Amino acid sequence: MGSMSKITPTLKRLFQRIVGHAFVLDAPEVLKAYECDACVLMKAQPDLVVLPANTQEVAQVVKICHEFEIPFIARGSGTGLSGGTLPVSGGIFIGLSRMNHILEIDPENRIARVETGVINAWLNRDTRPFKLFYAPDPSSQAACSIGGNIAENAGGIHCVKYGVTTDHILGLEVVTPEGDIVSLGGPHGHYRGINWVGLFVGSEGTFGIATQAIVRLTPLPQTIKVFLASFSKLQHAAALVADIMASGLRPSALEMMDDVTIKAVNEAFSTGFPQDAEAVLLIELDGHTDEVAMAEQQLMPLLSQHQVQQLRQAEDEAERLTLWKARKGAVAAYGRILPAFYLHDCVIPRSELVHVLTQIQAIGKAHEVVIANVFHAGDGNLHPNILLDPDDPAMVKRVLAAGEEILKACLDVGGVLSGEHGIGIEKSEFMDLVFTWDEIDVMRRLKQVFDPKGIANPDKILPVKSGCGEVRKGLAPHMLQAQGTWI
Amino acid sequence: MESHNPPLQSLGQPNAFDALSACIHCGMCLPACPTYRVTGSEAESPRGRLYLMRASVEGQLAEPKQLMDHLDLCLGCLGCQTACPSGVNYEALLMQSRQKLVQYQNPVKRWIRRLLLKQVLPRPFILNGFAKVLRLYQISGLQRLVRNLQLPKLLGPLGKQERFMPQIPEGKPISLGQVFGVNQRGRVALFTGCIMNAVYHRVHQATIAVLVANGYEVVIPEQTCCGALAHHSGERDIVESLAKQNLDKLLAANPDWIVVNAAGCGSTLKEYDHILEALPEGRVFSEKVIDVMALLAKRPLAEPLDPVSDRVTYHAACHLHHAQRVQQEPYEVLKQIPGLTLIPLTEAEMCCGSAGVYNLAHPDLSLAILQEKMGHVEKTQADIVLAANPGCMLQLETGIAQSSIAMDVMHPIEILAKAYRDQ
Repeated sequence: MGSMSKITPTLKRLFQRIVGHAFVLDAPEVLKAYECDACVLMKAQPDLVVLPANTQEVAQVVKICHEFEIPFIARGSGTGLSGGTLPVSGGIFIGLSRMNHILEIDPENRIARVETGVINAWLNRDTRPFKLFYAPDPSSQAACSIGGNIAENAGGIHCVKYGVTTDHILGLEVVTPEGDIVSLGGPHGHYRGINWVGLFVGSEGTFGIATQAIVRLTPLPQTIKVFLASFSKLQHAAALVADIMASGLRPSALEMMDDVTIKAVNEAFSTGFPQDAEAVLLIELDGHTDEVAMAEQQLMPLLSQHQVQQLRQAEDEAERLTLWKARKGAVAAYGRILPAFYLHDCVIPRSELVHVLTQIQAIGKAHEVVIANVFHAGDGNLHPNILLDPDDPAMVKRVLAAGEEILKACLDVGGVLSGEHGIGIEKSEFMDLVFTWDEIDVMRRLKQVFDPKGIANPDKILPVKSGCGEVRKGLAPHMLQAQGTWI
Repeated sequence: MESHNPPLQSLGQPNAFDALSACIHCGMCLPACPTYRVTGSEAESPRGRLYLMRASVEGQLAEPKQLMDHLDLCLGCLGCQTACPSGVNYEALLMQSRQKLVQYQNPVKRWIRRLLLKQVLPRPFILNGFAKVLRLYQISGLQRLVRNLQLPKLLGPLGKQERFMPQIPEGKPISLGQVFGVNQRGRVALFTGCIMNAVYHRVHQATIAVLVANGYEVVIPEQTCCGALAHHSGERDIVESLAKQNLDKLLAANPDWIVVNAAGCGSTLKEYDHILEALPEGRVFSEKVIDVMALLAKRPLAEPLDPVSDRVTYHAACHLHHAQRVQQEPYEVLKQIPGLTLIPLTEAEMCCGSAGVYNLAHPDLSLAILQEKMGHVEKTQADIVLAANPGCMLQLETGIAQSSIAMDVMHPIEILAKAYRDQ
């Protein structure tokens, strides 16, 4: 938990004057409800929650934070997985949940202007009548906010073809850590000069708060086909993924689920995936009808080379949507097995999939933990979910140890820490495994340019350099602190 | 935090709250929750409420009030349960918590509420008599006078509640003990409910006409209040006693189905198997309960159907869509009516803010939720908005009265009755 609260009654009144009494929250149980996001292993309560209604209110709140040096953290729907919004040094939450309006859809220019508390799925619902969509679709799409997507540079199932969030953000309205409102980019993307939008997307709320975004909309494809292939060995599926991507095919989604996931998903969504399979692949082809037909011709021989147990094509749109709904709900469906999960998010070269998945299986066995894999195979973006019971401290310890080993196995083959969930507080202490201290220092100086007082989502992304002889902190401290079992 | 008075842990079976562990804290329920949408607060979201229930069970909350405040604001719409990929039984957890928390409520308020639930709602003559007085107030011009004089504003909070006052139509509630039609396809007992019969007896007339046209014999047995309001307030003894009476009276009519046209009543009647878990007949009863639209969807509608040229949109009542999971059936039935234009309603399955007497208990929040609903309703430009629950119908009428649009509110069965009007 954070340091002593800096929020005096006077400060509270100032915030109340800006956003209204009803939208300044500090009841102890309310702060408790805010103590964690979608990763329940890490907990810290904010000193206060402010829920502004518009950019001006955000700016006024931030100005006060700047004046009194109060750390502030922007929070969307709280679906994050890396502790990106954890107030480890105290401070206030600036919740964007009320700033959830789609301000404009411009089908001619294929853009939309939204407040950043808008839920990703709402944007897609409202652009569909114009035969357009917003491409980045994280699995938490039904709940996550565009602001959160921008902070984490979120990916998703269709990003293997369409790219991640940064490829779809053209302009931003940002409240700087000093409380100024600035416009970055614009409806036509960034102009000449420094690409501020590119710099801001993925900065995890450490450069300020994006309050509005101009996003790129993409035409809906004419034809979409989804194939479901099942395999008796995880490795067979992984080998096929590598071959598909090497063949030059551009699937619009290429997702893998393992046996643990298949069972959970079948129970939650009655998807009827083969129960005896060790893995299934969901392969989606989209585009012009002729283009899809040609891609299918190219895909079929590859499938026949890779011991496919069963091949099924989604019959109609309803079945296709059920398959994707099941895929996107997979992680939550693990609740049917154990009450919590700890999820890694490394990206590895696709050629290493077989090798690393085999290692992950072995790590799970060695630590006696259940690992469920469901991931963006086409991108090489792994999501090993280690299932756990947070009330079992011994199990939590084994899970964290397994997590660290998985992470190192991924880095050993040239992988990176995170594909789409961000570094947050969870992986900051691993940054020096992939960056030199000089590189980290450049990032730190960049942060200082935007946030000289260091109040915008402090403690995130950048590690604290350990002195000589000091033992690496690893990711464990924050988590074990939450469990009350410091090492 | 120090625990002084753990409100849940020490009460009931130790495992009663095991279902909490199914919540994996993913947050998928947040956008499906009307109170989260309006307040923006995590503590007014399903995930937040479950988290606080758990905190309470573990003795981490100092006062029962810290849980009660947030559970009180829950509409019980169960939109979260439909959204949850992990299968959390939110409804059961909410009911268990409320049953344990009633003892901490203000005793005077609780006494008054129990009196209403026990002595007023189960006595149709009081409610119907009250409706008559209300109608007199409305047709005499007194209501217009009161509203023109801005008296509701002077009444403070009570004035806000005046807005939710139902418009009482002409005609009489259906009397119990009648039989209609001939048994060709089955014998059904019609559950009349309290508000539906007092305010929307026309819906019962439509229900009887459509069922008779479709070959059902319709009986209206003696019965009492379904107990929904008592159930949702956690007053277990009252709901048990009402359930027992309904079970005896309705089963005595020997029906194939117990047909309900009020989603809220239907959902409670379907739960009698849990409410009366000691009685084996509870299950028999619950299995016979069916919403009228679900019954009609079981086979093609009887011909001939006259064309109905209305432009309608359908609001999915929470206790039909989320609680009873009757989701596609109303559309399937309505689509069979020739000439009818069915305009899709965005977020049709979001709560309208009625939720039993929620609009009276929390008028501001209820109106804010209604406002979101009305935004979508207005965009359809339909002539009629359909809802299969009297609470929703009243709420939507309030929403329309406050806006500039002209739209009628009907039960879907009334549109069907139009297609059978010449028979």
